[in-house]
Amino acid sequence: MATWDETAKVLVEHADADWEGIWTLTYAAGRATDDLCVVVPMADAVELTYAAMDLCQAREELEWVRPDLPARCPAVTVGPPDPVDADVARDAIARLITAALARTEALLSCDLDLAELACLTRITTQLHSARRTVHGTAGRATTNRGRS
Amino acid sequence: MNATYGGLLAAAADAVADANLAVGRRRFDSQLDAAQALVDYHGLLDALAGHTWVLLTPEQAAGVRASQGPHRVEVAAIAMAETIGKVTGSGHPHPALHTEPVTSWARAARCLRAAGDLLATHHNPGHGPRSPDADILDDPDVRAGALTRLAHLTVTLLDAEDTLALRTLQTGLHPATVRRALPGLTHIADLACTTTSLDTAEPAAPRDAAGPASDAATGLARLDNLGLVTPPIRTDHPITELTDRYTRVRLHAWQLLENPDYSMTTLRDLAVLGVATHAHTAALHGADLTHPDATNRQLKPLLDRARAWQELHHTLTSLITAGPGDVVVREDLIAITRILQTLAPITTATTSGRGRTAPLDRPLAEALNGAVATMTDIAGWSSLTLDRLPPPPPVHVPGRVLTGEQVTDRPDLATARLTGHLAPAPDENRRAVTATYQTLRTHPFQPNSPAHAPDPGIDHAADARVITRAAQSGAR
Repeated sequence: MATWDETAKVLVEHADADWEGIWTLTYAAGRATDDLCVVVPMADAVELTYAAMDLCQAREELEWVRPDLPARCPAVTVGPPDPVDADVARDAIARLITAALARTEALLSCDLDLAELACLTRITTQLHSARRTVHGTAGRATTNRGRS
Repeated sequence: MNATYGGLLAAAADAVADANLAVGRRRFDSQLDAAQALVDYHGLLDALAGHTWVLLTPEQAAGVRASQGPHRVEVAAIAMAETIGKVTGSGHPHPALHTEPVTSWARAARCLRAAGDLLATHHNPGHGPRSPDADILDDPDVRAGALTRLAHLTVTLLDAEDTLALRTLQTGLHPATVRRALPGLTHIADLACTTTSLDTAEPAAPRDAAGPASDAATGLARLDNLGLVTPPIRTDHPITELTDRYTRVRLHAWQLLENPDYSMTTLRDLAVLGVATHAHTAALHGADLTHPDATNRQLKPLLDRARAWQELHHTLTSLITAGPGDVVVREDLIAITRILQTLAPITTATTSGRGRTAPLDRPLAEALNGAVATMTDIAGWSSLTLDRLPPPPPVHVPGRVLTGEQVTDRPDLATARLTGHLAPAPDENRRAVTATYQTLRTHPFQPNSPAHAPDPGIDHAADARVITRAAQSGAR
C-alpha cells in the first residue's frame, strides 16, 4: 500500500492549476489531517483539529464560488492513517497544502470576478493558517506511538 | 459585570436590610423625606407582588386556584400577592416609579423589577421560550423555592412597618396619612410567614429521599445564575469572556433546533469546540496529553469525551449540506480556542506522569467545568438538529467516497460512485453520527453515564419536550 507521502506526491504532481486542482488538494489535506487527529496524542490532536477545521472551511469557500466542484472533482484521500510516523504524515499534509497554495497563487493571475477574487484571498489565509498549525504542532507531543 | 437573577435578588435583599437599619437608627430630616420613604415602601410592596406574578404566570395561578391538590407554597404566595395588591392599589405604574430612587427601599424595588425583566427576556410575548433556560420556572419546586425567598423578603420589609410609622409621625406628617399608608400590614406578614414555613419540596419517595430537594437546589442555583438572553460579551477579563462566549454558543446551538441552518459547518464547529473544551479542561486538571497512554485515571472520561468529539468531527467532515455556517458560533469558537490556549495550555504546567504542578486556577476550573456541561447540552441539541433536517435528506457525500459495500444493491449510489456526483449520505453515516451524539449527551462525570454508545431508543419524551419548546420559540 502506498504511504501518505507517496500518495501526496502523486496528487501534487497531477493536480491541475485550476479550481478543481485546488479543491482536490484541499479535500485530500483536510481528510488526511482529520485522519491523523485520531491516531496522534491529544496534545497534537487538538491543534490538528483546528487545522482540519481551517481546511474544511477553505474547501467550503471554494464550493460557494463553484458549487459543482464536489460533484466534478476527484475526492481522493491519501489512505488510512499510518500511526508509525506522524512526522512524515505531517510533512505529506504540508506538501498538499503548499501545492494548493501554489495553485491558488497561480489562479490569482487569471481573469477573475470579484467573488472569485474574494474567495481566493480567504482560502489563502485559511490554507496558511492550516499549514502553520500542521507544522507548529510537530514534535510537541510524543508522536510515533509505535516507536519506543 | 452582567447581571444575574440571583445577583439582583441579593442586591434587593441588601437594600431592604440597609433601609430597615437606617429607619430604625435615625429620624427623617424632613417631612419630604418621610413622605418619600412611605411612597418607596409601598413601591417595594408593589414590586414584591409584581414579582410574584412574574414567577407565577396568570395562567399558572388560575391552574393553582382550580387544582384539587395545589402546591401549598404557591397557594400561600398567591394569597400574599393578592393581599398586597389590595393595599397598594391597582393603579399602574405605581407612583413610586415616577421618581428616581432615593431610599434603599426604592433601590430594592428597582432590583426586583429588573430581576423580573431579566426573566422576561427568556420568553417571547406569547410566553414561548427564547432560550434553553426558559423552562427553569416550569419546575414547581424551583418556583416554590423562588416564591419562598420572595416571602422572606416580604417578612423582612414588613418588620420595619412600626418603626417607619413612628419615624414619619415624628416629622409631623398627618396621622391619617400615615395610617392610610401603613394601616397595619400584619395580615400580609402572616401570609408571608405561612409561605416561608412550608416545605418547598413535595414528600420524597423513600428510595430517593435526597432527590427532589437536591433537584430543587440545583434548579434554584440555575435560576440564580440566569443572566440576560443575549448579554454583551465582556472582554475585560479572559475568564468572563470565556463564560460569555460559551453561553452564546449554547444559545445558538439551541436555536438551531427551530431554525436549522441546514449546515454541517456549524455542527462541525461545535464538534471542534467539544474537542478543545474537554482536552483543555483535562490539561488544566493536570492530564498529560503528550503521551497516548499516560492519562490520569480520574481524567480519562474527559479525554474519552475529547476523542469522541473528534471522531464526530471526523464523520461530519465527510458530510455535505447546502447551508452556510453560523458566523457567531465560528467567531466564538476562534475566540474560545485562543483563550484556552493561553489560560489552559496543553503542554505546560505538568510534569510527565506526575500531574499538575502549578496551583489550580479555581475560577478558570469553574468556567471550564461549566463549559463541559454546556457541551453536554449542545451534543443533545445537535443530535436533534441533525434528526430534524427535513426529508428528502439534504445531507450528501461525494459519490467517490462511497465504499463498495455501501453501493451494493443501491443503483443510485453506484451511479454516483461511478460518475462522481453527490449522493445522499447513507443511513449508516447518519446513524454513526447520531450514536456518537447519544454518547456525548450525558455528562462525562455523571455516575450512570453509559460506557458505550446507547441504543437509538433514547429519551424521546425529553426530545419531544425540547423540540416543542423550540417550536414555540419559532412561533413568536
